[in-house]
Amino acid sequence: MNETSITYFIQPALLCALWAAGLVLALFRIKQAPKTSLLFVAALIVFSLGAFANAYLVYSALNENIYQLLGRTAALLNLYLRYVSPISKVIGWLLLLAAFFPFNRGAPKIDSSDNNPSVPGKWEFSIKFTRKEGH
Amino acid sequence: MMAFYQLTQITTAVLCMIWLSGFVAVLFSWKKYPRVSILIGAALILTACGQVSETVILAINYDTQLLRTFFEMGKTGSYISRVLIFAKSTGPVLAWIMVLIVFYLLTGKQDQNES
Repeated sequence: MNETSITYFIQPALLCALWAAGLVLALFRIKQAPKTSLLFVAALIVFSLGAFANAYLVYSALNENIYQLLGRTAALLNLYLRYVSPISKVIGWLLLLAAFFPFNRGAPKIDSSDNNPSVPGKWEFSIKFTRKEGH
Repeated sequence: MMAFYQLTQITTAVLCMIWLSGFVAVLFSWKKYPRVSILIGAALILTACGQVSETVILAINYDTQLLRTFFEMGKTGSYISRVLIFAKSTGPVLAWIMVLIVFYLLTGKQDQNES
C-alpha cells in the first residue's frame, strides 16, 4: 500500500468511523447535556458534508466516466464543491469550540456570598416575614 | 474563480485564527479544568499541524521553484516530505480521538453536576 492510498482513503475512513462513534456518543448524552450534544452533532454533520464533497471530488478526478454521464453539470458541480470542504471545516470548528466552551456550562451556579459550593442534601432555611392583621 | 491552492491557503489562515482563539480560551480555563484543557490544546495543535502540512504539500505541488528546492535538498527533502505526509494524515485522526475523549469527559462532568 503506497502513501497516496493512505492519504486519500484510509485517513477519511478513520475519520468517518470516529465521527460515527461521536454521533452515537452524542445521541446517548443528549439528555444529560443537550446544548453541548446538539452543537457537537451539528459540527459532526457539517464535517461529514465536507468529507463527502471531498470524496466526490477525488472520485470524479479518478473516474472520467462521470463527465460523460453528467456532461457540463459535473464540471459545474466540481467547481462549486471545491468550496464546500474548506467552508465546512471553518463552520465545523466554530461549532465544536462553541460546544466545548465554557466548560462549566451545565454546572449549577455557586453563591458568591458563601465560599462553600452547594452540596446536595444540605439543609436550606428560609424566613418569611408576614404582617398579622389587627396588631 | 479562485484557485484551489489559494483557497486552501485562505482556509488555513482562517482556521489558524479560530484555533488560536480556542487555544487562548484553553489557557484561560487551564487552572479550573486542567485535564480537559490539555486534551483540547493537544487536539488543536495536532489539527493545526495537519492543516499546515496539507498547505505546504499543496504549495510544493503547485510551486515549481519550491519543488526544485526540495529535489536539491536530496535526502533531507525526501525526509521532510515524508514527515509532512505523515502529519497530514495522522494529525486530524489523533485530534479527533482527543475531541471525542473531551466530549465524553465534559458531558460526564455535566451529568455529575446536574445530579
